[in-house]
This record gives sequence, C-alpha cells and structure tokens, in this order.
Amino acid sequence: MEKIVGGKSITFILNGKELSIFVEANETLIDVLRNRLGLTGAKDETSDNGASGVSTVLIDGKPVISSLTLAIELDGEKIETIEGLANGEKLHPLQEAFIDQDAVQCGYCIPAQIMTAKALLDMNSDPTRQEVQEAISGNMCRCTGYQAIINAILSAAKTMREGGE
Amino acid sequence: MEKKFKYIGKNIKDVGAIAKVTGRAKYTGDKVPRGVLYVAILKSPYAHAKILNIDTSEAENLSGVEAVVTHKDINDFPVKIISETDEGFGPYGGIADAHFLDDEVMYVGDEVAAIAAISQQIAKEALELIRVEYEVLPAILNMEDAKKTGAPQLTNKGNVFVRNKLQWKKGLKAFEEAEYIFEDEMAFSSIQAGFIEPNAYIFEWFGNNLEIKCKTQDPWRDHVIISQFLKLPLNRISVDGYPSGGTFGGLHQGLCRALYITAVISKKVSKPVCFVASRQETMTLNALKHRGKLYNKIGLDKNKKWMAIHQKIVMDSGARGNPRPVPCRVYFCPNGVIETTGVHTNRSSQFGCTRAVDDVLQNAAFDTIIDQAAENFGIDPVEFRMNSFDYKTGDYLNWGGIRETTLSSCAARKCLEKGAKLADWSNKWKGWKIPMAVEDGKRRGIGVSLGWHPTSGSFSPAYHSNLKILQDGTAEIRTSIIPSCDSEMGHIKICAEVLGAKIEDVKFIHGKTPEIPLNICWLSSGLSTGSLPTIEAAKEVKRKLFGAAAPILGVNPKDLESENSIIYVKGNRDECLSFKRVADKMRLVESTGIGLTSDYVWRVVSFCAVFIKVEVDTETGGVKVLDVVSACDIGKVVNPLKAEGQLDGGMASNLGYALSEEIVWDKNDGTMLNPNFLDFKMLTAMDVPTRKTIFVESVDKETPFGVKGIGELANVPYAPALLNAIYNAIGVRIKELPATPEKILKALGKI
Repeated sequence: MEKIVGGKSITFILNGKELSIFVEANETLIDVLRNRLGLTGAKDETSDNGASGVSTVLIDGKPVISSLTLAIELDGEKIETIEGLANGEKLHPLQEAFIDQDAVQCGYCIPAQIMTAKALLDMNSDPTRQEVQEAISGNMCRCTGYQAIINAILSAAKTMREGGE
Repeated sequence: MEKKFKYIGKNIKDVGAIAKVTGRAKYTGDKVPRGVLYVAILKSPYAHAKILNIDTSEAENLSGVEAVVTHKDINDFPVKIISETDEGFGPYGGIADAHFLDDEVMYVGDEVAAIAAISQQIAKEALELIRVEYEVLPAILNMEDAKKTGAPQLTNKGNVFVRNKLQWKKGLKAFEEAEYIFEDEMAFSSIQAGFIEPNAYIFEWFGNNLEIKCKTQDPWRDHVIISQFLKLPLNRISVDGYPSGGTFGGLHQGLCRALYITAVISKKVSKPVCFVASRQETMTLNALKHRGKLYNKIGLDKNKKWMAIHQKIVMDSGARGNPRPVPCRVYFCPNGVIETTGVHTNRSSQFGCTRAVDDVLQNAAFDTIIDQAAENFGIDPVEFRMNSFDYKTGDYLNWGGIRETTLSSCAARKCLEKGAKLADWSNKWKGWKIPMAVEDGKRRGIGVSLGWHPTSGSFSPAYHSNLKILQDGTAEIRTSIIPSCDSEMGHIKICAEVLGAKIEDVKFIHGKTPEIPLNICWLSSGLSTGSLPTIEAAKEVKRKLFGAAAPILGVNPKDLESENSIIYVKGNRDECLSFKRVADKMRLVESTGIGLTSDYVWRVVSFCAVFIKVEVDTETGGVKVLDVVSACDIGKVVNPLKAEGQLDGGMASNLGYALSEEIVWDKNDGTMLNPNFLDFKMLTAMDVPTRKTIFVESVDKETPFGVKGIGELANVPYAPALLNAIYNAIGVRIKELPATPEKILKALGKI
C-alpha cells in the first residue's frame, strides 16, 4: 500500500515561469523535476547521497543537490535547471564553450557541471583556475579528467565578460 | 608526401553534443515508460552460504507486487552461453559459469531474489518480506586462505586456476643468456570502473518481440546474449543503448547478472520492467578490476638491450571470476613467459576491465622496474629507455598469444625526446635519489614512463557500417561504436573525406539494433578497426552518386570528383551537380559497407611518454601532482582536442589508481565497506594538475588513414610515471598501490 504522508501546495519559479503544484512531504526536488515535470536533465543520485553531484540544480542562484532537497521547502523559491539555460535555439555561452572545448564526452555529468558553473560565473565573473576547480569539486566526472571542463568554464567567463551572449 | 585532409586533424564543432549540453539527451533511466514495474534485488548478507529455504509468499501478497523470482525460476535458463564465433577472447561468450540466482550465495551482495512492483518503494518493502533460511558456510576472504589445505573449494575445479600461460621463442631459457637481470614484485588493489551513470535495464515485450533499453558497452553483445539466454531468434529483439553514461569496459561481457534477472522477471509480467542500480549495487553487481600481485623479471643483454621477460600475475578473481584467458597484452620482447593465475575468493567478480585490462597493472610494474634497472647502472631514465627499451616500427610483437607479428608503427623514441624537452627534463632531473627541490618537509620529484596499449583488434569475421544519403543530400552513418565520442567524430570526418561531402551534412546516428550494424565497441578500436566498413560504405555510395551523375553531365563516372557535397567534372569545375540534385532524383542512396580485417589489426600499438612532477609532503604523506607532460603517438590524429580529452580522462583515472582508489572489504565478514563515491576516492576537479600534451605522429601504412586508438592507452602511463616521481622525491619505492599517505609515511619510517 502506498503510504500517504500528507503534503501541501507550493508555488515556485522554475526557469523563469511560476508554477504551483501539490507536493507530498517526502517528495524530493529530483522526484518533482524528473517524474512530475519530465525534466530529466538533472539525474537522480539519491542512492549516492549526493556524492556525484549529478542532481545539481540552482535554487536562488546557488548549486543544490536536488536528490537531497525536499520539494515542500521550496515554496517561493527560484529554481533553475539545465532545460532553462538556452534561449530557444540560442545556447548559453557556457553551453557553447562546453561544445567548443570538447568538454562533453558521455555527457551524463554535464548538465550538473554547467549549472554549477553558471552559479559560479553569475557570482564571480573572472574566476581563477583554482576557483573553478573548487566550484566544481562536487561534480564528479570519469570521462574528461576535468581539464576541458575547466577550460570551457574559463572560456565562457571570458566571453561573458566581453559582453558576448 | 603528406596528403592534405579537409577535416582529419582539425578540430570541428561536435553538434552531437548539443543534446547533452541542453539536458535533452535521454539516458536509459530517462526513458522509463508508463506503467513500468520497478525491479529490486535481494542480496546476500553473507560471504558464503547455502539457501536452505526461501519463502516469498508474504512478499508476493504485498499489494503492488506483481512478480517474484528466485533460483527456483532459473532452471529453464542456460547459465553458460558460448557463442559459435567465440575465438578465445570473443565478446559474446559472456556468462560462462555465471550461476546467478543460485541456491548458493558466494559473496556479500550476491543476488538471491528479485521483485517487480508498481513502485520502487513497494519493491524495496517487498524485499524485506522475503524469508530466507541460510546455512552459513566457511568463506574465503583473502587469496592466501584460498590456497591452504582444507580450504572450502569454491568451484568444482578448486580455488586456483591457471588463467593463461604464454611462452614464446626461448622463454625462460633466454635468461641464461642475459647479462643483467632485474626482478621485482608489486601489489595492486581492486577498483571499480567508476562510471557515473549506474546500470539501467528496461525490458518491454510487444507480443513476442522484445525491446530492450539499457546502459551498455556493446548493444550487439547484449542482443546476442539475450537471444541465447531467452531462446529468442535474433530478429525478435532490439537493443537501444545510446547514450551511455560511461562504461570503460566495466560493463563488458555481460557480467552484470542484473541484466539476466531483469530478463527473467520480464517474462513473468505483462508490463515493462525496469532495473536501475543504486551506487552500491553498481559496485557489488558489476565485475571489478582484480587485486593481486605482479612479479616481473627482465633480462638485458650485454648492450643493456631488453631481451627477456618473465611476468607472473596472481589475481583475486572473486567467486565467479572469468576463467578464460584475457590476452590483452602486447610485448616487444624477443623472448618471454607470461603467467596469470586466478584465485577464487568469496568476493564479487573481478574480471579486469576498467579502461584497459591487465595493462594497467603491467605498465605500472614494468615501467618502475625499468627505472630500477636504470638506477642500477646510474643512467638517466629517459636515456636508458631510449637505449634499452627502444621500440621501433618493425619490432617483434607478441599479441598475447593470439599472434606473433611485427609492430606496424612506432614513434616512441620521438615521444620521449619531445616530451623530455617540453618537460624541461634535462634541467629538472638532477640524478638518482636527488629530488628536484626540498623545502620545509616538502620534497619535489620528477618521473618518466613510456606506456603502450594495443589499439586495434578483431573478434568478429566482419564489421559493418551503413551510410545513407537522404533526398536532400544530407548523410547519416549508422554503426555500433557506442562508447567513444572521439571515434564518432572520427567516422564523420573519415566519411566526409572519402565521400567528398560537406562535413556539416554528415551525421552519426547511434540508434538501436538490429538497424545499427555490428561494429567493434571496445579495445580502443572504434577508428583503427571500426572505420573500415564506414570507408567501404562511403566508397560505394560515391560510386552510386557518380554513376547517377555521369550521364546527366555527359561524362564517364571516372571523370568525376567530389568536394563539399558537389560532384564536379575533373578539370572543369563549372560542370557540376550537387549531391542534393542527384539524391533527389534517386530518393535514397545507400550502402552497408563491410570491413574485413586483415592481419594488420594485430600490429597496431599506441604509445605515450609521460613526465610527471610531484610534491610529497613528508609530514602528512600527501602527494600533490604538480604538472604532467604527455607526448603521445596515436598515428594520424583525427580529432586533436578530443584526443587530448581522452588522455585527460585516462590521466585522472590512472592517477587515482596510483594514489587513492581502492575497494575495501571487511576482513571478517567480507562486506564491501566503501561502495559509494565518498569513500571510493576518485580524483575530483580539485586534484587534477596542469598539463601539456603533444602528439607525435608515427606514420602507419596499414591502418585506415594511419590512425591508431587512444582510449585505453590513456589509462596506463601515468601511474608508473607518478611512482617514479615519488621515488625521485623521497628515495623510497612504493610497491603497493594505491600509494596512500599512510603507505608513504610507512615507507618514510614515520609510522
């Protein structure tokens, strides 16, 4: 028998649009994103206890492990996922840079890497290499060895500083 | 004269990555269909036990549970599957002796039963309602115990098996002629492949047709194995395995029994079923890289040239380790004996593929014994390698007992020369036991290695690739090379070059079997071997296009050439027809090329010279990798930036192997103690050094376009260079991996 735990209606801003849904008290944000809203860019890492960082999304501009975040606490919050980053067909400079630097191999960790990088660059437009490494230290990757990802983030930072879109 | 290529060797924007950077790419776990049943697996809490009784009635009665499977349901299914084309190391002879869902459990985490339920929560609840009565049996928890008299025998062939013994030319007798002999032994720990996406399988029946979506290394391998397992003809199955979140050989040869469990349970229900592994299950259900010891003896002649090798590897194969030889080793030595012995213990399978096979251990051990020999002579280790281990095109090559042949191309010496220059070796290397710098308990050292890995091979009579030109002139390549984006772009470029097409018009489609023709998905051979059928398909499509264009242009097809998707009359470019014009008339121009490999595939080896600078903190034992220089020979470089990315990935993995990656088991009950990414320590972005990479192209006249592979090569040369650098820094050799701070402090006599 499915256990009913009770819940409430919450309203939040998702990728710039207001959304109101009813969530159960034990529903995580990753559940809501993937199973309720069909946004599969962020990957479930509940069994990982968030160690790989693949469920990273931004809440109020900060990277958060959505697998370890209860949806019910997000009433009134601003949430950003990878699906909201591009402007129609126009990619965000980070997305362009990841492609140009060949930072995308299997791609599984990439939405999380990009969202974490966005949080960094929105806060710090000229990070050092070390600051980039620290920012993505919670996002694991087995394919790239991180070098191209670091280069992509630094390259996107430069583009964004120079007013590129 | 070097041929000028339009696309090969240039960095071209990979539009295939757009889906991945926008979060639109759907991995198996993202494709779960409506009404799916979730599969949960009950696992053994004991390292070794007999199942006396298993009562699933309470679990079956739990509302929401639709099927339960135990060993009692397995009798109709074969546990040994051998392919007719199994050539010793064939990819389809996967699950010999798998014994999954047996009535004897062989390690903590071994599968006992499985549930399919309408939600993951209910499936997990149901597991707790399965009543199992175990008779706990004595377990073997380390290799030494396996060999003792009176030890429980874990297979009917005992606990110890000789996995492979290669001997060539004079074998051990060559050592009688050696002027100098060096020997050493190293110990290695078990690791996991470490891919980020966990195993995932979705089985959905449509009548008597089966559609499988799964994380896979090789969809055709899974297709053939499931066909035999379920006794289903090949034309009633399809396997969709793209994209895959990293495999590195860790999903090789069907050794994850959850695949078969999901297959069995799918037959008991009328809904699609889905199994997604937890991180813990990804580490206990998949085959790991074995731990063990590697003994090395090398013999040099009076000119100090390498002339004999004896290697003995003793490896923990787990309870159901692969009993077949794994000859993924290549030697350039004229005489040798290589022996590998497997020992069964009550642990999960340890097959050995985690981005390169035994080569990871062997390169680590081999390149450090070379340094020991160099030190013995007081010779600079770079100079020593150039004199004594001077691999050259045409050298004798023994491909793991499969072939004795010669090396098709080699720029190893140039790799050492150019790499040394880039790393400023002559100024940084101060001599044996003299570190680069010492300051406040921190000692800096530099080390070198020259790693190699075979990067071609053939385990199928033929490989195939399908090329279509659609009626608007755009092209689609279909062939099965899932793991590597480097190879995928390589196929696009090679196709565009041969066809004379505009590269923007050529797309690679991964798709699903059987539409996706079979190609080689491993052994770093996606380009060096795998491009053959794509080339054949491109040639044939070009022939058809020219055949259709010639009469329109009023010439002979021989008088035509193509560039940028336009067909021109040679010498008169005003006379032309676009691919689009021709394709529009024909609606579809298509060919499935067949690649028949010749002997060349056994002669292809890639090389990489690596120079690493480290800093060892003698107070904490911590090792910081400061800088890495790689000088790499992969023949003709097709995708420069992607190739660099391959080395970067291998570097992080190989450095992790040397420094911190280790699976730890409880000494008393055999439980895996660190089945997660927090406690199994792979390198993070914080840990990777700065690096400089150059490619030194050898000219290979045998492979298509002179290309060689890189994927596994990337995971072998960094560990030995690191160990050699640590020795330069602290003057003590670490011979047990990983070289954790504890081991370094012990080596320094501090603890």
